[in-house]
Amino acid sequence: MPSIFLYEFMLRALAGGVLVGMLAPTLGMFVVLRRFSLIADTLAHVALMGVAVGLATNTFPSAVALAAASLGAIVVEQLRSRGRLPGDMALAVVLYGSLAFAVVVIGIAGGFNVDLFSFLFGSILSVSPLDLWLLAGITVTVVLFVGVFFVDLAQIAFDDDLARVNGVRTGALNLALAVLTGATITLSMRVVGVLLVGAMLVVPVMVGLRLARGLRVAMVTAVAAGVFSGIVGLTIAFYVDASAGGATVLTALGLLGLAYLWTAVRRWRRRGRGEAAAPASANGPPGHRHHHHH
Amino acid sequence: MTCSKLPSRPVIEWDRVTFAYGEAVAVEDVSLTIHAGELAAILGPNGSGKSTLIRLALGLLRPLSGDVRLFGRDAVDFADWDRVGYMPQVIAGTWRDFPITVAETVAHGAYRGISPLALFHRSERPEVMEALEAVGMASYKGRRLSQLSVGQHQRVLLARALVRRPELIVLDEPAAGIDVSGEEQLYAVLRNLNRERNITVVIVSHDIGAMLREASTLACLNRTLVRHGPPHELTSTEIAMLYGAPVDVLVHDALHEHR
Repeated sequence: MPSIFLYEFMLRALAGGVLVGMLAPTLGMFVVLRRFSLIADTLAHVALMGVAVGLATNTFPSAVALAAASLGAIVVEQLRSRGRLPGDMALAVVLYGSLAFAVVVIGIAGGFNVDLFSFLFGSILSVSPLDLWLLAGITVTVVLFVGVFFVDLAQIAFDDDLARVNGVRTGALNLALAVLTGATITLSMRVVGVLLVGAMLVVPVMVGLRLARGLRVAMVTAVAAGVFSGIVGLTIAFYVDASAGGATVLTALGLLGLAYLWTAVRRWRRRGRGEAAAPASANGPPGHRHHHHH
Repeated sequence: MTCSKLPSRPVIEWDRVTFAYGEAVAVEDVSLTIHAGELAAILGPNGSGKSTLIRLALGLLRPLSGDVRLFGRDAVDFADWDRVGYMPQVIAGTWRDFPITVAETVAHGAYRGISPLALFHRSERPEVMEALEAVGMASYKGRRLSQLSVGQHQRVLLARALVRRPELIVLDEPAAGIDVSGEEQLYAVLRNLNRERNITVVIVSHDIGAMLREASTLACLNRTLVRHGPPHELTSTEIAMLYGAPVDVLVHDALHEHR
């Protein structure tokens, strides 16, 4: 078996996986807590529209995608904050509108090619040094943003009105969060692909929410789950020649399954102990045994 | 020494205020003043504009016409949030998946402005514990919020509203979804805050019985202000006027749901 560390492209891919694993759940935590998970998938398809336009017009696709996703994020956030977004319907319109437009542009431009597939499914080979630098840049930005505004963002996610009455500048922060989400999705797309980038914002976060009691621990757990999925997923993809995005998201889902199993076993064992204690205390001295177990 | 009571100043003033959500008028031409030291209740059936009225007072909504002043300042421009505590309506299950402990929830209320190190602050600080003790929830500090009963949940949010030692607290349906003993505990805490610490308390409620018992002034709202004054002056005819027949209340609810 060849060592993955012998290949430069593989080192780049692993670095990309680690960065996406850190970046996506850091923002994803606030997206999920605000019950706005569908925005990730919507912005990914807006970014795909940008990629299609970029490939068709021979301009740098990542740049067009970045612009499209940022603009899309601002529009969606404006609609949301004005209460003009009746549930998920408006998001569905934006998602399918972008996808349909992308498909039409791709058809006119001569159909699907390797470049497009690398955007759709993510590709280890396609991660260039430039992609990596951009990804590192947005990761540093997001970590600083979330670090400085952690309590503000937590309050907004908890209750927007309460945050405002506490003096939090909700409008500006929501807009910043939306634009950073757009940028995160566009730049993570190179590694995990358009179709699965939303999963990296949501699934590691669910692992954190399942296991942690407080917000900070949930965040650390989610990032750990994301980084682990990135490394393990890309390694699997390398050895069995599978899709990078698919392997990464499946790894994250595996962790989520383990998290559910772990909490279920913990609950079952606690209940089992309770049941064992009941007959023991009924047979033995009244209440004596029972107290030891509590 | 005799207690020389200062002439109480207005805390919240609504002056000929109208507000509508799109076509639906929620509050029409309401003029009402709440003074310092009052335990004021805003009473009315569901959909009567009670929550809208206090969201206007907190600057969360901008009136269509008329003026809203909070501590003498235009509510929309108000920024001195140390003076105000707010407890929103708790809808059961809203924070079921939110990973937050009791102490963290209250600590968020104590948070003032951006601080790069806020992420590393301890949640169980003296002011947080003091607020939790005031509502009898100190022993629950490390629990996850979602594990509490609705009544305990409400008291934690009350502690969050109290942690900055405000002069005014505004509560939207604080007793919704809690049992009789939980309700009694909550009102006891509010009475105590009003009398001992001289905090102005504004309660929005649809519970006539509790408000007749607890409030020092009563404002009855049904889109327009029906009456305003001490509770003992409220007549049964006025109650009937406010709520109408039970059928009317149901119709009103249905309209509200569809809006």
